[in-house]
Amino acid sequence: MSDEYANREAVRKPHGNFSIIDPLFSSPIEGDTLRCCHCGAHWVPVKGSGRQRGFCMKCMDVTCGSHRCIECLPHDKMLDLMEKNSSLLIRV
Amino acid sequence: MPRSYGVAFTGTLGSATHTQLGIWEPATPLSRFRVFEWGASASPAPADNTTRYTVNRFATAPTGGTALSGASLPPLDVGEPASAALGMGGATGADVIGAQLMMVSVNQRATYRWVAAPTKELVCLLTTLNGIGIYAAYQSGAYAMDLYLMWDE
Repeated sequence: MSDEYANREAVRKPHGNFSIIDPLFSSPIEGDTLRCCHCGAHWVPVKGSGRQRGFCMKCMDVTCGSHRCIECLPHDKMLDLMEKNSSLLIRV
Repeated sequence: MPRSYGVAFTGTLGSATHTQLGIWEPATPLSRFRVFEWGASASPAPADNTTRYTVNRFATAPTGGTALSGASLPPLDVGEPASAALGMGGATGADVIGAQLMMVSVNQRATYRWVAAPTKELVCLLTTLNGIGIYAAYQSGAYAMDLYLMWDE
């Protein structure tokens, strides 16, 4: 098992769950994912990963920590904007 | 009440920039597809290979692969009507890769499964020919994988 999955953190309210059934390991590897409340991307929270995540005080939810997600733009609002201007698809 | 659908595709992993299994909105989109589950495994002779999968948005319908529509995108409840989505496995062109929504690297011998919590799905844009797909961003060789995708619409 990679260090990343070895140090994965369980969260109280996961936004998703994954399982990896690998014949090299006696039991399945299971873990949680969190979803950025702005861009909608999921990630596996890993203790000590060095990745800086964020928290939006308006949405009261976690963010992925990328620069584009620092300012509050709720996910549903972002989808509305992307639907009106598909050129945002690559950038947002 | 959303209806749930699923699609599976088995094929040799090809392009890193064109979807290995994706669904997209038709010419007249009616609802945002919400991907709530996807997975990867290998049925034919898995070996010690590694693949980095990403789930990305894409614009423009992919081409060059196996087209999946109608009966190839069956509802999970057999009483429901056919899906409005269009799908393709093993695409080789046309789709313009967009924002990355997930990433995972797994060995070919392993079976990977991800499920979203309710309301935390990967949401497709309600825009003509925009979709969400699984991409094999890195692969250590030429081998086939089984992929599946489930969504509400």
